[in-house]
Amino acid sequence: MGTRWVRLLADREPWGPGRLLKAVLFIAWMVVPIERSWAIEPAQDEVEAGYNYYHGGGVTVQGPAVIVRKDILNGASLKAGYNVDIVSSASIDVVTQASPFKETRQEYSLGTDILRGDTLVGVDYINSRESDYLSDTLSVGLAHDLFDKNMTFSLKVARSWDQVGKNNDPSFGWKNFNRTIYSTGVTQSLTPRWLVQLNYELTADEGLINNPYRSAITLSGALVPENYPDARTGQAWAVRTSYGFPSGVSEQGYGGILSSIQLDYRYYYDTFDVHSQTAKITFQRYFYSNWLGGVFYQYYWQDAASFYGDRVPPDQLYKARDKELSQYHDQWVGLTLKYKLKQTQWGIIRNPYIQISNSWMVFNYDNFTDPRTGALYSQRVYVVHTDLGFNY
Amino acid sequence: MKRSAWLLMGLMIILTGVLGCSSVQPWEREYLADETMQFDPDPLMAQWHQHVREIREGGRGGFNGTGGGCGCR
Repeated sequence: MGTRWVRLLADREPWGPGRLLKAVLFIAWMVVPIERSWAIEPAQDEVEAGYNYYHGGGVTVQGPAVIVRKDILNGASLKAGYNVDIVSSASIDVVTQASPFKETRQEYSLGTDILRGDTLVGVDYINSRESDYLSDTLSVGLAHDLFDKNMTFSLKVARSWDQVGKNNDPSFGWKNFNRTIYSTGVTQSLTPRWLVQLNYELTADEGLINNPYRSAITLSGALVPENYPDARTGQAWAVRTSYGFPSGVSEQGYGGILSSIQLDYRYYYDTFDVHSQTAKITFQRYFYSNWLGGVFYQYYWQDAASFYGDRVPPDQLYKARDKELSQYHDQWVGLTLKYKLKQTQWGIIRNPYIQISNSWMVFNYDNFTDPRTGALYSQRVYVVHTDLGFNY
Repeated sequence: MKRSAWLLMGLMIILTGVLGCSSVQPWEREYLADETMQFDPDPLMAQWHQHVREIREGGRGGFNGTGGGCGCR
């Protein structure tokens, strides 16, 4: 079995729908205990509808998002999602190299989760469309409970087939960009109030990786097209842990969780020689019986890609002036507030809730300058998410 | 591979082996089932924050694990 799996991953056949289907069937055959009966607990029917807002650095992105999940058989559910990004951009790249623009991205998703015994298998498809970028993504994942449900093992494979275009330049045509993701993780309950999760993820990109609109700047100040290697492989290792504080013991012996603290850490590196570290802390606490408040803080740091340059020698083969490939750090602080009516039913609506998250990001770039002033660039971003949802 | 990556991988293997020995009984899982104990319990918010991260940061992946250890996700 192990040899088959290695051979499948090492197969030189190019990735396409046929090969991905083989991978899906192989994983399903390998892990799904067909002889088991359907799980006792079916997925919950639920609806979530929200609105996203991002503003900063000359860029505004906003739009609605919705997810609907429906149990179709005992243990099998369908989910569908839709979201829109309405983009208005006058970012530093745009105002120094092109003209401000507006565009809309629409994303549709469809998926299914099948729960059999202690194994959950999920298959998802995502389609994204905008004027100069088309994307289709297919993923299959599984999660399996072990050791009396004290440990959950997860495995996921995703593949996207993207087409990159260039507005107002028909001669550019459409270039391919493909991404394959392998991820695996383990979640362990250490005590009745303490969880820890360990994850590994490998991302392999191939094709046109750079932005076709962006230019690099040579030492003499001339604009030249960016040129990236046509492959990039990144690896991420992450540790997450969650610890709960009880509200006290009631007459029934269970007082519930009053608050929790969560710590996340990730180390990432890739073949562009980008190394990054992310650390995040989240604290949540119930107020009265229906209110849940939260606060989070994230610190992110990365160093620059090997071929990044604020100014590059004209004879350098690979050239990048993407600020996301420069050396920088950012801080992200946020507040969330949720109001949920537990054990409530209004007609077909059960357990309705509404929540809002406001957060602020500050980016400080160490070797990316504003070409208009020559000063190191920094930006502040305001991020909002609000949604309401219910079971039915 | 960088030394820190090897250290993290070794830590994962050791923790997996050691932690597999711990045992929380089924009747002790009410705390773990609480949404404040879950990693990313709100799909739309998690999706939006991940989208922001992917656009503005060079690092990718690692925060998409499954499972809360409570048998409910």
